[in-house]
Amino acid sequence: MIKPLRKRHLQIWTALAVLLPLGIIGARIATPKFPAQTLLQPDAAKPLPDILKQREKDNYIVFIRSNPQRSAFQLEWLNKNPLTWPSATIYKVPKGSSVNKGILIGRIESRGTYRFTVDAAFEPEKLSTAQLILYDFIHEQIIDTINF
Amino acid sequence: MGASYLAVGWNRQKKIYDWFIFAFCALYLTTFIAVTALYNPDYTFETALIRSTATLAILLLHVILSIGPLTRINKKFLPLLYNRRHLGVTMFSVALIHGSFSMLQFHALGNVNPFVSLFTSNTQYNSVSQFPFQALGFFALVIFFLMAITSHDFWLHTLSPKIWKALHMFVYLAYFLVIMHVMLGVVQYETNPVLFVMVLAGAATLVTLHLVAGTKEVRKDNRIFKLKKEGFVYVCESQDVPDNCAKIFCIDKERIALFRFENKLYAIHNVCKHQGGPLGEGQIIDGCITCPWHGYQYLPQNGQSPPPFKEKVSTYIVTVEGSQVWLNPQPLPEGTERSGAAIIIPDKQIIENVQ
Amino acid sequence: MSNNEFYIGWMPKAPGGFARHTKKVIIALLILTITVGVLLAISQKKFGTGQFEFGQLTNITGVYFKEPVPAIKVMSGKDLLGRSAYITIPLIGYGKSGADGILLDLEKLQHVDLNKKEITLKGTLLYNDGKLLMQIDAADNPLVSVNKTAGENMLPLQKELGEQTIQGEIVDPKCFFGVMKPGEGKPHKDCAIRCISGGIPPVLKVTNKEGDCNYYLLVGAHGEKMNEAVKEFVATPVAVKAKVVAYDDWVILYVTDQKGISPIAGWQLVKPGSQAISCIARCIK
Ligand code: HEM
Ligand code: HEM
Ligand code: FES
Repeated sequence: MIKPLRKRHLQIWTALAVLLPLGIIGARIATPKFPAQTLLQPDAAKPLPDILKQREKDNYIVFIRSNPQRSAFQLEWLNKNPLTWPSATIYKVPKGSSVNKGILIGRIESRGTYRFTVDAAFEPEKLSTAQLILYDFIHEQIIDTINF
Repeated sequence: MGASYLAVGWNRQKKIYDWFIFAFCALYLTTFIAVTALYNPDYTFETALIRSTATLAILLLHVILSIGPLTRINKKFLPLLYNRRHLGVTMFSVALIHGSFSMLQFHALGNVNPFVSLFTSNTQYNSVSQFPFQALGFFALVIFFLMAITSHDFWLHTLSPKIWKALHMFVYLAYFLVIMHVMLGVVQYETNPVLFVMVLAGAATLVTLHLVAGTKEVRKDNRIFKLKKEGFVYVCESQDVPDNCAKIFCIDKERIALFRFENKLYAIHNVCKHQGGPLGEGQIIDGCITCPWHGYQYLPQNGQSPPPFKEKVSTYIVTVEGSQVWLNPQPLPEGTERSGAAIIIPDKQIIENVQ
Repeated sequence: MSNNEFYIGWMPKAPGGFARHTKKVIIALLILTITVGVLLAISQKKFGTGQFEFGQLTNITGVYFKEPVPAIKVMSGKDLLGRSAYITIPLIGYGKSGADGILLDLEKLQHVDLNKKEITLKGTLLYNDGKLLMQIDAADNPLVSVNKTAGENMLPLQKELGEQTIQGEIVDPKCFFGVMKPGEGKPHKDCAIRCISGGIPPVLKVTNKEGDCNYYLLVGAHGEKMNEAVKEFVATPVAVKAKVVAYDDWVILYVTDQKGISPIAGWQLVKPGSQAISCIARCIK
């Protein structure tokens, strides 16, 4: 190394001492922020006031809701985590039997709250003989079984 | 000259050095990938590979860039410098894996050639928040590639040190490009500030090291020699030069190393023919001036490497008047033999030596 | 004496002072290596849950619709109230390309119009967060069978939700829903542009305060493709002004006009949409 070259090194680093912080901080400040926005889906119905039953799993919470008169029933499905199956539908089946014997309740999709209108078969006493199945009809596989 | 004399070949320390480079790289990659897999069971291997090699490359780049100034601040870092080029070539290879996989993942199987895609997918070169950061990585990789393919000593001689030095200056540009590649890329996506803080800390460390080492060196260069006569310049007192070692003087543009050997003074050009190492920071071993960087050797009497080696550096004429050392900064042709200037040793010192 | 020690690389052993110092440096580097590796690895944004069934082919039978984006609608049954449960699976091609080309080739080859027919397709599934897509590749002979034209009951249910301005990020659904992680944001921007250029229908990903997401398909005011027009707005916050239609289980945004998409904030030296830069880009092409 000769003297001018050493000086050049020092000049370059002096320039970098200015440019690097400018570039680093500038890029960081310019980082775009993504806005939050109300979602269009799911278009859930109003919740019924009473919770009759509740089951909590890692990925979702399931409630059976009803009105005070016990004349209307609702299955509320709180999807906490993204689904990792091609499709997910909820079936009610008599305990121990297969999906073909079941009644389709509905399909769940992205995270959020889903409410399905269900019939009096969801009264707590009657439910003890039934179970819910989360079923993927694309791969024809049972994802989960929920007992009340 | 003992049997230990060897040029820079594949010797024991070099092997140890390379082994450490390999072990550290392997350790880093495994740590990164394993922790990613543990923390993120949903990870994809391609991304883990792209990110582990990317961050390893930038870590290596920081190490490479700090070795120079560290050795200038403290000589004990010299063993790290010894095989810095292998570190450079390793860094390039790791970055190449990162770049290739990124090209495959992000640009292959599209409706245009991947290299066209690299420059034309995102065309928002006018925006800070949308800047096509991948192009920056590409140009940095091109610079590293040029440095790596010319990394053999052969090229240093063929290209002439001047061109080669110019090429080397681009490493700083490449460093800047890499930093912006990261800042305008993932940092604008990640929500955790760890990477940002590390980039900032890395840059701050490098800038500080280089500015400290650089000002120190430039101050040495700027010493002014006032006493001049008949082409000679007064540089120091003869007892200032330690035995078998040298003092370095920068007169005009070039640094000159003034060695003391068997009580004679010899001056040679300070720049080693191998990679420009500072000969004046070396020592005389087995009668040869030995470069501190990779151990090239030169005879003080004529600036030539002992046979069979052919390197030659410029020599200079020195005279001693009383205790004053005078140096003629006009270089003699490389390898010119001239007699050393005998040091007149005061009686007092002789007595000390006898005791 | 240690001041006078001299290190030469070709000596079999470094002098003691150098060796000790080097040992310390190696330990420091060891700590640095592990710390940096661990910190950077754990600070990565959580990887998405997208799945791509790479190398696994699935047969899907459903009704093919060409509009608004090529898709196949699969029935699963009727619920208590007699409403059908189904899933609409948008189709995409191999690599960074849409499915239009392959489907056109298949129609030509078989001399049939596939639109609204019940067909069986073989392809690779990819899915995340309740959305399912299928990749069809000419090399897999994707068209297994063509059956009758579908009945009226299979036609899509449409519900107009009026004109709205919706904020979100434009992603390419192939990468986002399964193939790449991350399949969104700045690091993935180039790839998303490449995919959308290649004909994969653009999707607006919308996130609410809780972090839940919805995904809307983007098409032009009259259902035409918007792929080229959205390119410069990919992977950046945008506001989309569109006629919103719930179209079975997907929401379709019919973007009002070319100015219907605009960036939100960000530092811009020249407004996007300006010709200077894109002209240069075209010349390079
Ligand atoms: C052809 C050249 C290159 C291309 C196409 C390229 C592309 C990319 C891409 C797409 C990313 C984002 C990856 C992700 O996290 O999803 C990235 C990140 C990165 N690149 Fe490069 N790159 C190139 C060269 C380089 C070089 C030469 C270096 C440095 C020595 C480098 C260092 C990095 C670093 C440190 C990151 C951040 C890693 C992280 O995600 O944490 N790249 N690059
Ligand atoms: C490729 C062949 C290479 C050769 C022959 C080589 C050789 C050298 C030499 C002789 C120097 C000393 C320059 C001086 O102080 O006057 C040097 C310095 C340097 N080299 Fe390389 N190197 C090579 C590759 C690389 C690569 C790939 C990198 C990586 C990024 C790199 C990074 C550096 C850096 C940062 C310096 C700093 C100079 C200083 O200490 O101020 N080199 N190299
Ligand atoms: S021995 Fe390599 S620079 Fe002197």
